[in-house]
Amino acid sequence: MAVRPAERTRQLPPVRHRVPEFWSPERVEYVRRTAATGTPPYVLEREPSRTGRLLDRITFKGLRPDDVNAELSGGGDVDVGLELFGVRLEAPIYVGDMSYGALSGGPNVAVARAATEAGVLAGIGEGGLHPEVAKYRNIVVQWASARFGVDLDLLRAGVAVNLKIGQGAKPGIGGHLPGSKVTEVISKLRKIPVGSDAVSPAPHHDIYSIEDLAQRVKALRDLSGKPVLVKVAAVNKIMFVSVGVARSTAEGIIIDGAGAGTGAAPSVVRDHVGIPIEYAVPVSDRWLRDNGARDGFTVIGGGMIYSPSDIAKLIALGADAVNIGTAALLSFGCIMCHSCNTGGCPTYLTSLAMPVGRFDVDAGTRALVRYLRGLRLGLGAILRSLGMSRISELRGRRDLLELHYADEDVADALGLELVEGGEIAWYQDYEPLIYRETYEEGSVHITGMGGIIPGYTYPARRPLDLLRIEAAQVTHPPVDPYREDIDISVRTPWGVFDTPVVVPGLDPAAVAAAEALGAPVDGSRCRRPSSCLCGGECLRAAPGDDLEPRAGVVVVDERQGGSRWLEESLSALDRDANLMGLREDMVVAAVGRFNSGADVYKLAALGADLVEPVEAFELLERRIRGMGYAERRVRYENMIITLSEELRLLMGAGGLTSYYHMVGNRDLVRSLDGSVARSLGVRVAGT
Amino acid sequence: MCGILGLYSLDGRDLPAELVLRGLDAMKERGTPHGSGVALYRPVGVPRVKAFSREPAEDGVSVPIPGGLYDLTFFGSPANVRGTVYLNSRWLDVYKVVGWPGDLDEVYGIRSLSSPAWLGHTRYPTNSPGRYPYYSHPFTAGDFAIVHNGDLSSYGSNVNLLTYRMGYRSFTGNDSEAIAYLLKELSDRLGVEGAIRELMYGEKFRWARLDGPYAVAFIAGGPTPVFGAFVDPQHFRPLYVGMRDGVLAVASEAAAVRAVLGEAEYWALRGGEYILAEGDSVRGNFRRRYSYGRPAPEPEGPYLDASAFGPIDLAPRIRSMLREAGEVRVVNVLGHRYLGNGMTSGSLTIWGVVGNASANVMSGGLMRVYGDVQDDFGDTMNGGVVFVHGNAGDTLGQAKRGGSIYVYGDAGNRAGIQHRGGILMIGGSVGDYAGEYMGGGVLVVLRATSSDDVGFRIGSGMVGGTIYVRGRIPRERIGRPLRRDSLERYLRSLVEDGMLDPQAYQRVLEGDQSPLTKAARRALYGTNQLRVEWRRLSEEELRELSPHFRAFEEEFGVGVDPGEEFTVIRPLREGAAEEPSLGE
Repeated sequence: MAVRPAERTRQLPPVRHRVPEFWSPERVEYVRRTAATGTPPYVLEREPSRTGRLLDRITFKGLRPDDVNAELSGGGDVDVGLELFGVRLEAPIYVGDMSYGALSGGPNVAVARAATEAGVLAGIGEGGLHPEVAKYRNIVVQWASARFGVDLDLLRAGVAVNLKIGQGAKPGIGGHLPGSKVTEVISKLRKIPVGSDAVSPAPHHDIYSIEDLAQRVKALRDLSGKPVLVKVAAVNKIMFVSVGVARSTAEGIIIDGAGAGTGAAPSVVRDHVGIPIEYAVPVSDRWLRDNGARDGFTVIGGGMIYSPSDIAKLIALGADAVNIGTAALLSFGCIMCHSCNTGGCPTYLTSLAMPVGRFDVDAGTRALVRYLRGLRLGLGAILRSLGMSRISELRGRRDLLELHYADEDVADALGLELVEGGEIAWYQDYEPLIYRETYEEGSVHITGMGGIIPGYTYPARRPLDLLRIEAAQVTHPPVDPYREDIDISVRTPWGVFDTPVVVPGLDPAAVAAAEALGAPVDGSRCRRPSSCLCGGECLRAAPGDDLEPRAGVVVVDERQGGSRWLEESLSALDRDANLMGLREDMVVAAVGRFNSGADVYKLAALGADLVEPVEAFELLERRIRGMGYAERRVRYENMIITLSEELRLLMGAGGLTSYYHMVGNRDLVRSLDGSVARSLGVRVAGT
Repeated sequence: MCGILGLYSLDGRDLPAELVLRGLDAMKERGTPHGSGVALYRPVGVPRVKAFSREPAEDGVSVPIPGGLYDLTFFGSPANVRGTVYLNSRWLDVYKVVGWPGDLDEVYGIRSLSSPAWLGHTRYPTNSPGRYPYYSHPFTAGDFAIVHNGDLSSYGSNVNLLTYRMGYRSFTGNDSEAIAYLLKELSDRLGVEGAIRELMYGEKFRWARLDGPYAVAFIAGGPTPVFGAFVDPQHFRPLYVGMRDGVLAVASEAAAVRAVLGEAEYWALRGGEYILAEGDSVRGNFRRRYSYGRPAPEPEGPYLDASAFGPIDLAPRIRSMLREAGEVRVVNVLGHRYLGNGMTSGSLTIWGVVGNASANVMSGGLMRVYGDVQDDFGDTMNGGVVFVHGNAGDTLGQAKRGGSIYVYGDAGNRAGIQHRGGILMIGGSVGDYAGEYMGGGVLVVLRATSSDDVGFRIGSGMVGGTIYVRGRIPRERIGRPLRRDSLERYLRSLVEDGMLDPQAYQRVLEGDQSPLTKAARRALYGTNQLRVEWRRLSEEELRELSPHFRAFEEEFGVGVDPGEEFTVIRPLREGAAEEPSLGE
């Protein structure tokens, strides 16, 4: 493979976000420099990080960063390649699965070409097989829920078939490409009518369980004659999914972690559903081994992976290879502006609404080839420093790793040695964003790429933020919240509310909006007893140790102060009420600084029947203060509709169809942090 | 996970274990070597207590079993059982192993047993390891034994109910175990039928509702055993029912019912249906549906006998024969999968029950089936013609983009889901969600060979194409149901605030949505609204459909009067769902 001398085309500077996310300008710069020179600026970080990903808190025992960095120029006596699906790869890397349609065409060709030149694999995504992409050998074709573009030619191209169940950025969520974007070319490639909406159902409607997955895996193998990989999101119960996929006879699994890239996803899902890849991989590896299903089965992990040390650590945690997506786009010049879904990508990478510029396929290919070379060199340096000669020797060697600044529960869950205690959770107070479309259009906010995991790669404001929401993958189906029944009504002794979202009744326009939509109203401006949160007797108390179960309505209101976090107090109250046999006689409402459907979901799992996201309505009230009554009312309605829709999206992702019956189901959430897990009575991620 | 089977003799005569093993074997593809089991009605007068243990018991019967374990049996009430108890009933007996169903006989010699009521299970483990026999089905709770196919999303809630309201303390994390406990506890409180309804809808007890996929068969012990089976309201899991000569059989696959009962009448339970048998009486909310039993023509020419092939070995053979000979006949097909997948030309004629995921990615040629086709038939079909002289299972013609499928009888749920081109013509009726996400082409439901009502949510999420159903289908079965009380409450509130005048209020109730905001429209009417008409077909429609009516009549000998009234369903606004764009 010919690598040209350093080449750096002029690139736009990366975006610096108001609240920092994982893809900081420094990380973007790391990828860019590697892509410009073919050599990473360094291999191992100077010291473990006190915040952020576990990967950044993990070190290799006994390796000194300077020594490893010096090995970068070492000889070629180590082999970082491996054979996968009958193909010899030069590095354990899969660049995937970005479709034509998500990307603008040129980058799709560059990915396929660079992967073939550099000896790695490239997944083509669910956009059909572009004839220019079909020219390259090392591609993996995709069979997804909408079957876009699938015919015999597609299935028989490339080296393997990827049966896509889910992706890290939106586990359990379907896709929807509006008819206006289904142009002549897209229509031809995807084999769908021009101008018609392209809907990807959330589940495969022929796969509602593991034996159904096995049926489809074998059908694809029978048709294509090729190995079958199953791509899933790293969900809370990933261990069951991994073992199930192995038993389905698939040759491998691609686990896509939280924070992984996407062309478009609801931000409430991207930010709160699923777990980071470094939790998912060691747990899957261990379960696969314990069930005798690890041999001959390939585990590929991805999600915010960009450096040689990331790759080496993930392999030591139990993966065979890694999946890289966002980093490949960064090598092309992506500036991480989070607007992939808008059609206005400033670097012409994602689908464009207007043909304003063109992506340079040749330059892009060269940059990605150099970046992949840099990763290979870095991996070689690590292997040499460890005294290994092949990458396979590193697989599953969790004993070579040390975990810093984490807690025992997380270390135990991952099977890692904890050398210095600390806290995973990272807190900082900031004002949350409230998106225009939530109150102007009444629709959930859609976003593009971004590595945002609250309390982890992005600051949390409170323990609740550290909880991760469950999604369904393979073992049972998610449910489409737009077209199928998800019942979010709440039964109380004095009637049924259509949504658990309680509206602060400060503005008469908000009261009217709530009553019109069947939402409960908090406050004395409530006009009808049947729509009032406190219609009858009602205890309002600050969260604290003194909160005791009692029959009737209990409003836990953090605006009243209190000695504990509301979520802690709520969880304890719910548990105590259950143990005392009082829970069925209580209606519990949580009132506080909450602002999204994810907050409502998490509080429900901890035991809240009703949730008042005071902050969402306060931020809204501030923005619409000067407007007339009717204008304000419409916006309050929109906010209630959006919050309810976010809740439905999250429930649907997990295959839940009844809110009433999910209240108090702590099994639906996992904590990234051990002490948060203990204080909220939930389990740690990975268990 | 898994394949389940239940047998019940309505006249009380004993059925041999052989039948159960034969039925499970017909569903081998639904299982793995990671678990099998049976339960049977076998009263002994005193409680029979069975457990798995690492050590033999002093006072009971200890049988060494694979994995270095012992299977312990006690009669009466043993004081102290060291091990995992899996049965405690005076009426029932249970055997379970880590292995294939055949291993039940290897380990326990069950082939000699017979009983009027049986459950059988072959397992694809999901949420608990498949290396300890306790996790194999059936699961028991007192005198209830169940087998389950599915995986619940409500497990944590169900455990809450058992823990806090019903006094259960220990759980293995297996959702099927929780179903057994709940079925027993709810039956004690509400009766068996009440318990089934409560598991489906949870109207009386919070956390009783099972969410997610499940098909369950059970036996309840007693002087007369009670047998039952039920399917989740979404029909995420299949369950077929067959009856012949006083024997009732339920199974995850039609092929298994056929394997047990031979040429029996059988049909699929729809979502939310249950069947109960007690003594010689059968009751429940199920509808007995059309069963294929018409005489089929004899094969004219050489044919292949499918009995010599495993469930997934027949498809490649057919493919190579099609390539070489162009014309293939296959008899005795019983659940063989993937038949005709990737077919591009030639002709394939099949006698028997075609297994799941057949005629997938078909792009040409002619396929004719004398019998039923199971689930996922015609997925991603790009071309070709298929005639099915029987019924079709769920998800018929998913994402089909071209070609024609004609079905004599009924189709299950989600017929024509994501249909994008060509024609799908059903002679009988269809289940729920027919034409869901449809983007193009034509789905015709003739209701000629069976006049059953169609299911609910027809055309949900449609973005293109047309659905024609003969006769007048009530609006509440089409698309997303409109909650009129919510709409009226919303409109009244607008009127109160002076944001809507009373005339406009009336106009909205009559269907004019223009005074509403986009968000309110979406919240009240849903994202994909439909245009529904009840009328005779137009000239143009007749021109398009007549050749297909003729083809149907010529093939099946059933005439269609195209002059009758049809229900015609199309998206209200082609290609314009009111939901945020979520590409990939």
